[in-house]
This record gives sequence, C-alpha cells and structure tokens, in this order.
Amino acid sequence: MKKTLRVFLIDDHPMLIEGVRSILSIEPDIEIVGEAGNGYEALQLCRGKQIDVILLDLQLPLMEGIDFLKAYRQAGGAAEVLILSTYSKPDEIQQIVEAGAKGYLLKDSTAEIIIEALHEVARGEVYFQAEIVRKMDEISRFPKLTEREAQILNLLAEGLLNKEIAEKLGISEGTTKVHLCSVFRKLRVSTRTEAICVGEKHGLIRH
Amino acid sequence: MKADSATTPVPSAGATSPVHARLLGAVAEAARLLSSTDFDTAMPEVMGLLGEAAGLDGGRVYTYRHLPERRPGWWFDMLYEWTAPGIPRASDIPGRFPFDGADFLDWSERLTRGEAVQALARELGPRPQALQEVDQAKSLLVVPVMVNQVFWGCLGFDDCVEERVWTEPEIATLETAARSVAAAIEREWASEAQQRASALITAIARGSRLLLETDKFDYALESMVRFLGEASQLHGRVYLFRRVKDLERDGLWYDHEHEWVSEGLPRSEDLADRFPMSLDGTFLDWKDRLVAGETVQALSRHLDAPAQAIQERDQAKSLLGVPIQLGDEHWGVIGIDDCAYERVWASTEITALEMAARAIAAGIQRERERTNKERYLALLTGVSEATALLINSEDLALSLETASARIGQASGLDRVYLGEIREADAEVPEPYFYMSHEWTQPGIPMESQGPPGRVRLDRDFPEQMAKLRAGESVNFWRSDLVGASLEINVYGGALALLAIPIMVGGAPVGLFGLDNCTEVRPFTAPELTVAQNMANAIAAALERQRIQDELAEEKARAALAVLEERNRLARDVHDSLAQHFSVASIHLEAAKRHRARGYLDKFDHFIETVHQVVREGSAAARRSVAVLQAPAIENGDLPGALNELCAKIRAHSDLEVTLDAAPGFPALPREHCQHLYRAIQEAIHNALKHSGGRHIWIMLRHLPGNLEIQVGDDGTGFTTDAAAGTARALGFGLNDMRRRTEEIGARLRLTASPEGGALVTIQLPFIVS
Repeated sequence: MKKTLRVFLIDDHPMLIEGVRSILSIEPDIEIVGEAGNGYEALQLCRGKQIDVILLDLQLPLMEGIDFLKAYRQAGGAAEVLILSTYSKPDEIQQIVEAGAKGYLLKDSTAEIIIEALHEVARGEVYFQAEIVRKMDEISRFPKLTEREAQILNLLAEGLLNKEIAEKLGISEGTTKVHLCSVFRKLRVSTRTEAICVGEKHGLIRH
Repeated sequence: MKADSATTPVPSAGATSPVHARLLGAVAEAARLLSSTDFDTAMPEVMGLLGEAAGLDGGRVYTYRHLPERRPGWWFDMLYEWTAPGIPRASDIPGRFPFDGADFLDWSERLTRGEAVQALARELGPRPQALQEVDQAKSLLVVPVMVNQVFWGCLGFDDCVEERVWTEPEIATLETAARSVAAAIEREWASEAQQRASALITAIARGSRLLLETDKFDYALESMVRFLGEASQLHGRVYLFRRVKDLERDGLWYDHEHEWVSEGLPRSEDLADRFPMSLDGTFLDWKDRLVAGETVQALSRHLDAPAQAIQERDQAKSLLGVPIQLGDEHWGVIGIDDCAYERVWASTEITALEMAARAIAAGIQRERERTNKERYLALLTGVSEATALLINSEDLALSLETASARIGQASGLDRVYLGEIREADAEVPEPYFYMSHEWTQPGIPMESQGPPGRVRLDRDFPEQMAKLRAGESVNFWRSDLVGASLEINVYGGALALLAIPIMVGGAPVGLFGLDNCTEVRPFTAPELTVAQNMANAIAAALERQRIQDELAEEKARAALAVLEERNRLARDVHDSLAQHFSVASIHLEAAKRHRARGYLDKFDHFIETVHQVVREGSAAARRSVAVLQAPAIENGDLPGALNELCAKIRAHSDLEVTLDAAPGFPALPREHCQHLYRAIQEAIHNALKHSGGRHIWIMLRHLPGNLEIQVGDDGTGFTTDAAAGTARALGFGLNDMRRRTEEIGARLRLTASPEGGALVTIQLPFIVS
C-alpha cells in the first residue's frame, strides 16, 4: 500500500481550486490537507501541518507565489513545491527554480500529468513540462544584457529620451548611445520600439 | 655759370711772390679751361699749366682719384700726370696703380676734411721715403678735391730738385684750382644725373603703363625693376623688397621680391639666409625713416659694421632706399646699390625714383583690390554651394563635412573647420572647443589629428572669446594665442585666423573658422560678411536638425505609447482568457477523471461549469476590447465621447455606469481630449477588473480655474496591501494615467470613494477666456 500524499493547494481563483480538488479528491493515495487563496493565508495555514507537496499558483493577490515560496522556506517549511500556473516569463521561471520549486506545470495539463508530477516531486524528483523546459532553454541561449544595458533598456521602455536616460544614470549621452547600440546588437534590432518589443517578449523589461 | 664766378679767381695785384703771381694766372686759366672744355681734355692741360707756373722744373703734377675699394688700405688711381723733362712718370711704374696710400694714412683725416698737406720726403717714414726715392721727389704737396663736400681725390705737387716749402698764399691758390676741378666734376655729374633722371622717367613711364594695363601684376613689377636698372646706367643692382609680418619676431622685416643686377655681380637673392631680413639694430636710423616714408641714402663705408659686412658681400659702394607707401602703410622699398662708385644720388634722380615708388604703390593698391574681389567671390561661391548643401541634405554631419570642403576648395583658404563650444565636463573643467569637422588644403596638417590638448576658450584667448560670446567674429594672428590653442595652431601652421560664432538662441554654440597658413593678412569686410552668412546657415541647419530630432523623439514616444497600449491590451485579454481557459481545462480534466473512475453523477456538473467559464471568458475579452478602443473625439466633445463609452460598457456588462457632465463643460483641444479620455478609460478599466463593484460613476465639473474629472466605484477599494497585490496591473495603469495627465499639465489623485471603492480625480487648470 502506497503512502498517502499530503497536498496543499494555493490559488486565488475559487473555481480553479474546486476543479483541482475534484481531480485529486478521488485519488486514493492523495489527501488535500488545506487550501489558501493568497500567500499570506497560505503561510498561516501551512504552519504546523504535515505537507508533502504544495501546489502553488504564481499570480496571487497580497503575496505572489514567488514571495510565498521564499517566505515559506525562510520559515523552515520543508514540503516540496510544484508550480501550477498559466504562463511565465523565462526569468521568472529561473527565479522560481532558484527559490526551490521542484516542478512547473501549466494549468492546461491533463489530470494524469498533475497526479504524476505530484508523486514525482514528492519523491524528490524534478518535474518540468516540456514547454517550460523549452523556455528555460531560451534563457540560456538568449544573449545576456549587462546590468547597465538592462537598466537602459528599461528606462527606454519607460519612454525616456537618451538625454534623460543619461541624466538619470549619471553618464554622458555618448556613453548612453554606446550602451544602446550594444543592446540593439544583442537583441538584433534596429529601432528603439523594436528593442522594447523584443525586450518585452524575453522578459527583459521589469514593470 | 654762377658757380664759375664763385670759383674763378681774378688775377690780382695781391701776389706775394713771382711764383704766387704766376700761379694766380695759371689757376685763372685752368678755371676757364675747365669750364669751357670737357673734363678729360682740360685736365692734362691744367696739370701742365700748374706745373709750369709753380716753377717745378724738376717735378710733377698729378690728379689722384680715391677708389672706394673694399680691401684694407687707402686706394687711389692716377687719372692725369704732368712731369718736367727728365723726371720719371709715376704712372709708367709697373704695379704702381691702383696705389695703396696706407703709408700715408695719417694724412687721410686732414685730406678727407678738405685740408691740404705738405711734407719733405726725408721727414716721411721709411716706406714712403723709399717710394719717393723711386719718384725722386724731395718735397710733396697734396691738395684735396672735395666734390659735393665728399673727398673725391687730390691734386699732387712733387718737387724733385729742392726741398720746397709751399707758402700759405701759394697753397690757397692751389686750393682754388682744386675747387675749380671739383666744380667741373660736379657739373659733369649733375649733367649725368640729369640724363639718368630723364632716362629713369622714361623707364618709369613704361613700367607704370605696364602696371596699369597688365593682369600679370608680378610680371609688371619685375619689369619695372628691370627698366629702372637699365635706365640707371649703373654697375650695381636695383631690387624690390616687400615688408612681411614676422609672427615670431618683432621689428621691420623684408622679403625679396624682384631684382635686376649688372653683369658679373651676385644677386642679393642668392646670398644664403639673407631673407627675410631685418633693418633692426643696424643700417643707421633707416628703419624709422623708411616706415615714415623718407628716402634714405648712404655710402657703404659709413654704415655700421654688420651692415657693412652685408654690403661687402653685395659689393655695394653706395646704397639708396626709396620707400613704397600705401597711404600710411609702409609696403616695402625700392633699393639701388652702386657697386662701382660711391654715388651720391642727385635730387632729380631721387624725385624720379619716388615717382616709381608711387607708381608701384598704385599698382599694388589696384592689385590688392582685384585680389580682394577675387577672394570675396571665391569665398562667396564656396559659401553659396555649402549653404545649398546644408539646406538640401538629410544628413547634417555629412553635409557639414562636405560644406567645409566646398568652402575650402572654392576659397583657396588653407583650413576650414567647424566645432562645438562645450561647457565644462568631466574631460575639461572649463568651456572648451571641440573641432568636429575640418578640411585642409593638401599638405596642410589637420589640427584635429594634432596635439591632444583642448583649446580652453576663456583662458587661451579671453579677449576674442568675449567678442565671440557677444556674437562678433574675430580676426587675429597666431601670435595672439597662448596655451593649447597656440600649440595646436603651430602644429597646423595657421598664421591668420578668422573665427565666427555659430549663434543659436543668442548664445554661441560653436565656431566656424577659416585659417590662412601662407600669409598674415586680415580678412576684408566683405569676406567677413560672407563668412558670417555661412555661420548663420550652419546655425539654421543645427536648429533644423534639433527640431527634427525632437520630432523624431516625439514620434518614437508616440509609437512607444501605442505599443504599450497594445501590449497592455494583449496582456489584459490574454490574462483574462488564460484564466478562464485554465479553469475550463481543469474542470474538463476533472470530468474525464470522474468518468474514467466511474463517478458519473458529477460529470454533467463539470461540463456545465466548463460551458459557463468559457462564456464568461469570451464576454470579458469582448468587454476589454470594447473599453480599450479609443474613438476619434470630434469637436473636442469629451462628454459626448464618454457617453458613448458608457453605453458600450453597459452593452457588454451588467454594471451600472453613470456619467454626470455639468452643463457647459467646455470643448477642449484635441490633444487634451485624447489624453483625458484615455486616462478616464484606464480608470474605468481598473474599476472593472479589480474593484468587484457594481457601480462606476464619472463626473465632469467646471470649477473656478479648474476642470475636475472624477471616476469612482463602489467596489472593494484598495488598501496599501491590496494595491501591492495588484501592483502589476494597477501600477501600470496608474503610470499611464499619470503620464497622460502630466502631458497636458493636469494633476491626478487616487483616493477612496465615499462608497468605499476607489476614486480617481483629475484636475486640469482651465480658464475660460
């Protein structure tokens, strides 16, 4: 007889929780030990509970998934974490993995995959959906911007002129142009607008 | 004939001795001979008359001409000699002439002063004694001949029989004879001078015509010098020296322009290292006199030592300098060296030569005006082409580069440059000049590739900079500069510089410069005007470029705003759809799972949930699109446009949306309408998405001095925590709203509404005129 898997659900959408609960409740070796609608609530409810896997959404009100994960680990929480979310930008995936998530599923996964992933992660394995792996791969292949370049790209996205960017960063307009050229080259674009589009697409723009 | 009467003694009864009486008669006869016959015919006869009258039965009478030889000694040639029968002729003694009177040097002072000298041979030193032994002279009398107050030579009387001592009256009578000889020479010279003057005038007339008529100015100048040389009947040289400005050294400097020399004489031009030459510290007081326009002349031997050394090489015995004046300006000098005689120029000749100087001055003036006109036209051509380029070109940097080259090529100037006046920065802590475009003639070094120093404007040329700041152009020499700017211009070889400020908005933002590396000359007023035009055209091009850049930036900003809006719309729709699809997907999975496990009772429930979620999703997407679409607002009618928006929202949702626009809400400019509409739309969208309320209201009011717009809802509102939770969406929307309201000078506040939801207030300063 398999050991019962103790799962905690975190999602702000009641109907989604209801759906996941419906799937897992008929599994004989899975027990739902708690549910929460945001990170804060989850931190309270997880405390002192015996949990094997936390199924975590990333876009949450009050406290986002990544912040919950960090706070949970900080508080000494030992359960494995499996992300169940819609979509993510590559750098967010990177962050979530670094914060200690063991797997990442999209919400359109089949029930079989969700169940399989829960078991795998509970055993200490990692479980990433093919699409997520592809995205992570993209990060490593995409040319890395330097900190200065990323800063400039972000200020560009805020609609600042070269002169204003230079003033803000305390560098000359010429230097700004040099960095900007390098950004253009790395992103393989030729205009400011294109740079912002491509930057947006690859998660280089922070909002 | 007046001179004759002054120098012809009348035989008088005052004779002191028979010899004296005879001498008086002979001298009178000599004077008559000299005045009626030509010099060469008269002189041998005069010698004989004097010898016989003096009773020199065993003696000789001779005429020595002083030779201004450059070598050491005191040189003479014998022109005429009479000897008594049996007395040897000195002129027959081989190697005697030219004769060096070095052993008689103690006589020279008295003789050149015009005093007669007599001596007994045995009282002379051993070497003169030896000489007199050959000549057999026992006593000697030498009477100087002073022509135009200058020692010309002497009459000599040797007694070879007895140690004769000449009496005062006898000597005085012989001095009268010497004066007659001098008068004859002076007459001869004056007539020669008269002839030369008339020849010179003919030559000057030819030269002047050429100067006036030909376009080949240099050829005309050279011809004038040659004509003067040929007409002067001179063994010597005629030259033209032009005054030049020497930036490194003070004083009066001349360069060699043209020269005519007699055959066999060296050209002063060929003497190494001569030019440019200075008259400073030597050549007597000539420098000041020439600059003042005064003609100068001197014998070489009267010059100071360094000048004498020069004349020794040139072999000149006398020098004449006639200044060439252009108004007050001392342009240069016509010089004449006589290499044969110590010529003293007659006033008629000098007058003629001063005419030549005036003719040359007039030619130079005419040439200068012609050159100035040509330079002006050339610069004007270059500037016109360059201006056309600037007006028509798309690429300012490229056209400035080409414009500099056009101006340089057309004007023939050595350097054309452009650059920015930069205020203090990290590189240089004070205003400096940054050369951005430079063109130079082939062979002229590029200053922008020269020494790395920066021209610090206020330090390197403060006076010029003050003028430049006031919008005036400055014309200066390299010698006016100091510091890095001097160093750079020494490298670049600039001699005369013109800098014109490029004025934008009343302040100099850059400099347009023209350098002359071959000549130190001021730029003329017409040239300044043309250059000023160029600077203005550059300023206009810079200004145009700035406006274009601003427009481009504005366009880029607008494009960015559109892009942001599109992205946000896409994200909104995507977020909403993804959420709904996820829920649908999970419920479908639950349905499948239940059916597989045989729990069929809940199957229909799951399917119904999926259907409901999909319906909600597509309604939300439609609503988002409807709300976020921006209509064209006509006639500045903001309330009208908002009314339509409210109707649209009502059609896509069951929310209560009310618009309360105060009557008489003014029509607004197009830009204001667009930004306000967008901001309000954003506020509504936020309320729709995040508030969870049932009622959204919009209020437009016209307060004193302000238009006030409020968007409120009765939803959950926002606590700081809540705001943090939805920071992404709300934050973004707020930023956009802030940007839009700031753009039109309005203020935006976010507060809690009376119903507990959110309240967005926009205030726009507005006064009805």
